This record gives sequence, C-alpha cells and structure tokens, in this order.
Amino acid sequence: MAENQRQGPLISAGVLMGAGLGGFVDGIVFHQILQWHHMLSSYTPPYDLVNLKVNMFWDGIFHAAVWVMVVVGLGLLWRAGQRRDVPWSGRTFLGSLMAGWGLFNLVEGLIDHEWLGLHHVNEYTNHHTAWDMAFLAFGAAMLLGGWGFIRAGRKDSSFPRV
Amino acid sequence: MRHIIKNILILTIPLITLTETISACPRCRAQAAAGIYNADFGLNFFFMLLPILILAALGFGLYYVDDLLGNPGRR
Repeated sequence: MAENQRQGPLISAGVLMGAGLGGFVDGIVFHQILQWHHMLSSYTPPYDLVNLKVNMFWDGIFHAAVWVMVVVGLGLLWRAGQRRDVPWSGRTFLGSLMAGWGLFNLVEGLIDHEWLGLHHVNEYTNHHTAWDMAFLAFGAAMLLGGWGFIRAGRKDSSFPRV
Repeated sequence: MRHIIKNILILTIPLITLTETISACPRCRAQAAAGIYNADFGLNFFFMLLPILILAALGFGLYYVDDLLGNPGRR
C-alpha cells in the first residue's frame, strides 16, 4: 500500500459492522433458535412466561444496540467508499468484518459471561466454563484470521471507482 | 373467481372470530413490566450497553489507526 493511502476508515467500518453482525448471530442463534441463553438469564432464569418476557425485553435492547452499530458501520463504509486515499480492498473489508465479530465475542464474553455473569453461552449444561471458553476461543480465532486478511490487504491499492 | 373468494371468506371469518377470544396474557404483561421497570433498570441498561459502547469506541478508534501507526494519508 502506498504511503499516502489509509486502511483505517475501511477497517473501522468493517469492524463496527462485523461486531454488530456478530451480535446478531449471537442473538439469532443462541437466544432465539437454540434458546441456550438470554441477556439476563443468569439473573432472571426464564422458568416461566413472565421471566421469559423480561429476558425478551433485554434481548430487544441488545439487538437494538447492535443494529445501531451495523448502521453506523454502514455509514462509515459509505464515507470510506468516497475517499480516494482509501483502497477499496475486499481483503481488508473481509478481515475487518472477521475481526469485528471476533472482538464482539471477546468483549461480550469477557464482560457479560466472565465479569458480570449476566448469562453463560449454554445455560443448559453444568459445564458453563467450557462453553464460555469455546466462545472466547472462536472470537480469538476470528480476530487473528481477520488480522491476517487486513495485513494481506495492505498490498491492495485498487481503485475501481472513478 | 367468486367461488375462490367465497371459500376464503368461509375459512377466514371463523378464524377472525376465534382469535377474538384469544388474548395475550394481560396479567403476564403487567408482571413482566414490573420485572423490567424496577430499581435495577438503570444498572441493567448500563450492563446491556457496556460491551457495545466498548466495541463502538474500539471501532471508531480504528478510524485513526493510520495516524497511530505513522501512516498519514492525504484527504
């Protein structure tokens, strides 16, 4: 990549979108399809309809927040696409999406699962820690893989737009 | 065509009248609201948004990654 070109704006957009989409994967797969946990399922276990509705509310707040993050990332992507000093690199963007998803797992996993204990990945097992660690390991792998793509994208300097 | 519309109405009208007798547990709704909007609401709200705020700060910070790495570009 030439010295006068910048990856930052594209990385920023990709990381925000990747983190937001990673949040949606968590919500759709773990909260709704598998129903392994909800946002407050360690504090308010969904044993009955009322507790489930309480958890659904907090799941909704979480989904609203990650939706905003995706929209902000989309806005940054739009702006990055208009700049001639930002290489329009698929590898940089893919790597940033992966890194964002990985960061989501790491940050959410460390804060919500380990520090605050709001919920665990799989509430239906006695091996909470194993599932929580697998969630963190997946996040670390995504972050490392994403970093690799971003590094590879430093060589990209194509400008398909006029 | 009239035959199809007639059949749709025959199927739909009983369903509409049936759903009028079904309600969405109004008592549960009040109890759920009490479980949400209580003394812990503000703290729960903060906890809910804490990872998102950290991720947003990280994401925005990366916008300036070139400056941090000493790669000043042109605008």
